[in-house]
Amino acid sequence: MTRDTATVTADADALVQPVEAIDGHDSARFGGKATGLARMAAIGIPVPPAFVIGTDGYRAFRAAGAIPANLLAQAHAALARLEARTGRRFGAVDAVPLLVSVRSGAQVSMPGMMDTVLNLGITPGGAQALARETGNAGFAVDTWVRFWRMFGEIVLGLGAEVVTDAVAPLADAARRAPTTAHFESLQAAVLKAFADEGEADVSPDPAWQLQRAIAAVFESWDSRRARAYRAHHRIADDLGTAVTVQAMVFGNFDMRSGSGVAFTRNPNTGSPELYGEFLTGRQGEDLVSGAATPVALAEPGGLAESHRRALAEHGARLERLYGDAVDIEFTVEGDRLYFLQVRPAKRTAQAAVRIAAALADEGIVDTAGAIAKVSGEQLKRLLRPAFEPAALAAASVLVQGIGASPGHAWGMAVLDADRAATVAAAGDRVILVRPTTSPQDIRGMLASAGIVTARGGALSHAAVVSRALDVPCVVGCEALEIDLASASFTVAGQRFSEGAPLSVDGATGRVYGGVLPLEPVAPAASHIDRILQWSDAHSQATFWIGGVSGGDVPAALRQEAAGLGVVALTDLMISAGTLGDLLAAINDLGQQPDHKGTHDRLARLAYDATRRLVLDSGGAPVDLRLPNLGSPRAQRLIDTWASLAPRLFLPLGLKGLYVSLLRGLGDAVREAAHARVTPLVPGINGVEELHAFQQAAKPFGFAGVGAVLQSPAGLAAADAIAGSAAAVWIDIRELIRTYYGYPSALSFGDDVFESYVGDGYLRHNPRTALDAPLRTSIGAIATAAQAPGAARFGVECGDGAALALLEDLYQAGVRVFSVPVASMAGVRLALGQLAVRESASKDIRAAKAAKETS
Amino acid sequence: MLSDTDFIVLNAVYLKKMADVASIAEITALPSEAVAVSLDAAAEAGWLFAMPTGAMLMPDGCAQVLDYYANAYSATRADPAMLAWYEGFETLNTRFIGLVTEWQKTEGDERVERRLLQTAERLTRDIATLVPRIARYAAYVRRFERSMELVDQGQRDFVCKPTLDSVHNIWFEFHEDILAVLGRPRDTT
Repeated sequence: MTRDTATVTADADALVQPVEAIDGHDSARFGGKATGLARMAAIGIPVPPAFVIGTDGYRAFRAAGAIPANLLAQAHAALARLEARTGRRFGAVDAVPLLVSVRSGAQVSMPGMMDTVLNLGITPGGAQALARETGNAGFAVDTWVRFWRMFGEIVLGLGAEVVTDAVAPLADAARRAPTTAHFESLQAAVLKAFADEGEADVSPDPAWQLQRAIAAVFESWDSRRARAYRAHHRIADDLGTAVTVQAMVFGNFDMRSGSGVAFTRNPNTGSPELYGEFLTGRQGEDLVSGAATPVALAEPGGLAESHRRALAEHGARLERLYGDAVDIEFTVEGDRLYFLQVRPAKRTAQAAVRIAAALADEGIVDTAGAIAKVSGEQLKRLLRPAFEPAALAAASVLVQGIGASPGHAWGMAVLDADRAATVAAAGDRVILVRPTTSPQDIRGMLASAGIVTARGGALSHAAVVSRALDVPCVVGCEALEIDLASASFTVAGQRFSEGAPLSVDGATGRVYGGVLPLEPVAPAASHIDRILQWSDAHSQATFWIGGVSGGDVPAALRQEAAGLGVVALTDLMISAGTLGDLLAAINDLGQQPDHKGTHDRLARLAYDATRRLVLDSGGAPVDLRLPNLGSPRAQRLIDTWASLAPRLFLPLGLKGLYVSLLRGLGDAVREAAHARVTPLVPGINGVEELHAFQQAAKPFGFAGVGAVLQSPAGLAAADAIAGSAAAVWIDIRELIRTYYGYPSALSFGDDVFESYVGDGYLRHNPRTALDAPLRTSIGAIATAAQAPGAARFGVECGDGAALALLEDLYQAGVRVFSVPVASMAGVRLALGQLAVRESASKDIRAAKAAKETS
Repeated sequence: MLSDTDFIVLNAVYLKKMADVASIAEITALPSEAVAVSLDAAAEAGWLFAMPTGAMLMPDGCAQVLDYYANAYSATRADPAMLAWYEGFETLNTRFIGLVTEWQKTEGDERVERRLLQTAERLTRDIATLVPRIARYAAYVRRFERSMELVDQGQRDFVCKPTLDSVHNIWFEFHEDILAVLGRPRDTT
């Protein structure tokens, strides 16, 4: 360490250090609070003077069982430096005294550590001087009470009411006449109340109080909750905590003073402007309590222009220090600006994407840093579907309540939670309409697309639970009268029966009659696009859209997908309403495998089902899988499954089937002059099956064919199959099922696996983690697929797979994923973030290795 | 009137609306066998409807539970100390619900979380003072402590996720319970 100031080098071993002298990156020794202050001081941010007792001080305390004499002496010397810096004396009774805050400062913040004690150092004489100097007796009394309340609560572990009850009868007298005598009687009352609670040794001496507060911080390291937390997170017990002691500054000192909060960027929109508010002549807590009305920073008449400029300049510096937009709690005392606390700013989802993109553009973070600033949850919220604007404009509000959980939803009104669960289980969308909700309604709430209550406010059960579930909710619709007995509700004389369609806007609190269709939207869409592009650049992954059918191709193509696929021919027929025809034709084929008329019907069905998709795809690659009649899904969809010709249950089944379907598909492809449609054969287990499929496809003009592997046998043959195929996809859910030998996926909810794992019967949930042998074989195929000219190798996730499973697959080496439109943005972001984390930990390992060899 | 054990089991179903043997055993600390016996007897009597996902009370079963409350706690309902206790609870309740809302809106702000847990700790202490009078309330103390510990360990779903034995869920169940003990209707919050 090369530090230039001689004074610092001289006592770098001291247990107590001024914060500006410490290494701002040594949070192991000085804790996050003090190192944060040190780093701010180092770049010229005005912070109130402070000193820190390092974790070596904690260890000395623990060894001695008390604060050792040398530590105490150093603390007093450091306190003298604070006095010199502030021009105030600790414990002064004849002038405004130096008051300090005492905080814990472990490297990792953890529960059970001591809260901050403020205003330590106040005495009856000091309080009286404070009242006199500021001309504000109420402030002096509040400062005094606040100290003792915190000392009682935090240091002594007593209820806050011990102090508030003791001072209640006397405080008013002190407010009216802030004499030393009145403060003396307040102090006597508090000390007596402490003694009554068994704390008889509390001293009115500030030096004793400081010593006791420091000891309390050290002791809190060994509190039950802190120990339990460390045990759980495997944090060593002997790391210890630092203690930061900082001079207090007063925003209510005079009418030039004040307190405020500033954001370096607008936390609602993300726009790059200094945003926040300032309260003249008041302390920071008045801002929080809403006791007075602050003035926006942008408005004149509040904060002095020079301070506003200083905030903006320091704010820009802090953004570079933190690599993020920050919020700043500040105080002006007299004519001096102080920064009290700086944190990465809270922000809305919309602001998060805009800020992330802007920080990268401004060079404050690189793209890896930018994608880390957005969460999948925020993207999900931004990409949440909303009412179609045209439909919304035409709709009239049925009833207005309080928006309690944002989002748009429509469904049929159901007035009973149990019925709601039943109706939803049958596949209908439900809006639960209740007078109010209670825990007894939880099952229905879980099943509903939206919730409306007649009573209750933004803090009601319905509001709290719907926010936790992320379900749109409107509460307090007072014009709504619900008659549970007749299962109907009335609004302004108009009566509705259960089942009536409703649409709910949980942000505005509006409930509409009828169905307002939803469409995907994205405020800040251009920022989202850029963040996802950066994410892809880090992950080097490409994404295909699975499960598209007829009408949603254009919407799907907007998602920057590499292609459409894996699309199931069966799904296309379901949405075209021709599945029944297909099944009838297959049945007939079983009876007469060579009947030309049946072959033509099958070809026609395939042509009709795929024509639109192939046309709409606009030349984008399409990977299309043929039906697999042996699958559990086929078994569910086909009533007469058991009576089908048994050979149809094998992957290729009857030649008449797959050849006819290929012919129909070939007709659609030729008509659209689409060169990039690849038919996929599902469920095959060897290269012979692929070759047969390939031969069959050739006459219809397909340049290449591919396979969807669903079994361990298929996986074992993947290398050979990939040698002849244009594309190899793994149907991951089916592969996992067949790997474990579990029955059809339909019968398993995730909770079933979770409880099985919880009982200790299984190491991990197969849906969320990849078993090691599977990982090894998939990894080997993925590695081979990196070779130039190799077949495209991807993993297909059907209508969704757990993010954790996708991350496992990515770590195994998979770089091509087929995901549903709805989860695509979240998956792209998550894999980009994973790639960044992986490369960071690789760097750390490399640095470690380099260090060891040198 | 229901036996104490039958009441404890059926009350769990009453408060949760639907509950299976495992979750009832967990929250009541009764052995699963005893829970199953009570549930079977209640189903036999037509008080309960058993489904694979759990048991639900029929109207007669609800009436049995509410009857027990009315009989067992008639003295409690008249006790001024109890009413004073409940008034204290209402203050705490308002603070707690406000903190849960703030926690949600700030996406789990740490300072809010700390105040929220302090409030829950406070209620836990207050409930402990009722245990000599209502012995089964010891279960709430145990449940609160466990869920708070999980939150402390970083499992923040245990703050208010409705599908877990989260602090908010326990709080709400306790609220319903104390209202039933005192024979009061629930207000809109």
